[in-house]
Amino acid sequence: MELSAGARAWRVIVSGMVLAVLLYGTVAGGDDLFPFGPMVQYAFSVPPDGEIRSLHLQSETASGGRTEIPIEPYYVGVRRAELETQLTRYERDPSLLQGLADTYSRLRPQDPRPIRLRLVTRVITLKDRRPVSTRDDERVSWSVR
Amino acid sequence: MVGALNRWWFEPVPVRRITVLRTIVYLFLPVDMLLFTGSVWGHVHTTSGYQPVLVARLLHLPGASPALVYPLFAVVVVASLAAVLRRAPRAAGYVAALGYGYWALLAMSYGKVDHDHLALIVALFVLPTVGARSREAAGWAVRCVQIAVVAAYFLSAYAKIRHGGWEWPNGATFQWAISRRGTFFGEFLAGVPNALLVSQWVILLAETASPALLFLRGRPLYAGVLFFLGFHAMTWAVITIHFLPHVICLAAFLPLERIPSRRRSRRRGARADVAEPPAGEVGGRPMEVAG
Repeated sequence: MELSAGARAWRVIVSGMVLAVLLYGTVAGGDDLFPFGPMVQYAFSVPPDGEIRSLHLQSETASGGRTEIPIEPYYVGVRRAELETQLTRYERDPSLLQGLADTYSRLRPQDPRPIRLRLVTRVITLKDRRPVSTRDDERVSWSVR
Repeated sequence: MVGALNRWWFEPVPVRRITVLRTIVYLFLPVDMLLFTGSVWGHVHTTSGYQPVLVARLLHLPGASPALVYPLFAVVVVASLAAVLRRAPRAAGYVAALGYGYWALLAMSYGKVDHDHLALIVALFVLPTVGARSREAAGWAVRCVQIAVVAAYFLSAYAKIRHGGWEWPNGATFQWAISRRGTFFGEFLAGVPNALLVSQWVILLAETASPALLFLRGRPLYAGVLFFLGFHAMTWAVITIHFLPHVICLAAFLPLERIPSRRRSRRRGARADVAEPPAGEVGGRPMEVAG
């Protein structure tokens, strides 16, 4: 069945508008424009002799055990990349780690409760695109209540 | 020129392709909401982290809370099932689109925005526009999903150079991903001299060439789709990033209409039913007329 002229017109206009906003977001916009923002996932680069940084959450339990808690929604309610974006907020107010501890205890009641939480940045140094050394920089720590 | 563009936008496609695409997309939604945008469930516990993106601010959408997240999930699942089962598919489709749209905005409003949902969101909004009979309406909807898939590739190639510069293909970009979330296979690949460097160039070039998918037909087109499926399988094997919400939309390039309808093959025996019946011969499918 043929579409009427009107049915064609609104389809062309709507698709044109969506494409225009998408192109604007790509050329001039940022993540804020989701879902029309630039496709910036993995759109940054790392120099061949640069550094790779990633955030890790370390937990100390009453028995003295040290483990790493994955920074994932089903562990602490947030994704790692989200926490990395909001890291300065945590550095300014370490008590926010209490929230992570509470969420962790609620979501994983069978795991031992941490008495101390640390956010560390793991820095991997590269030489010719390959890792040569690793160090951990502590960013925030908090004694869990 | 206008005529050619018109033909290209509205190239008739069997409505059956939309029916199959609907089934794929709507059955995928609950999986996505549980696994891939599953962070929304976690955000119920991290209310202070809500940093709404522009669309969410303009619409004054509240952040995730138990009173919102559970009913929203239920509404989207019920609407999706209704759309698949063809109960008021048009209304159900728009409800699923708006509900999932809100869900996706929530998932992206806590500091990290992903870009693997563009084609899925476009699909959700164009699928309900196709009625029971119009092959041209089906053609437009399929074209929109195809353009969204290609846009995600092509514009991400542009973004890589805009934000990362030529250091993107020449630098240690993949080593970064493997160090952060690599698999055993990824670590192995990283050990092969120049494997990551070559992969970076292959991906940049493939994404740049992706608009060809919009103009190829037949075997070359299916080969192109197969290439990108292989690319996604590789990134999943190496860095556990699958881009599934985007991958399922690659189906819009395939002749899904050749998958026989169970209802019709029962009626006509096991014979595969490729051709779309001419307009007026849809009486045997009363559900498709609804909405």
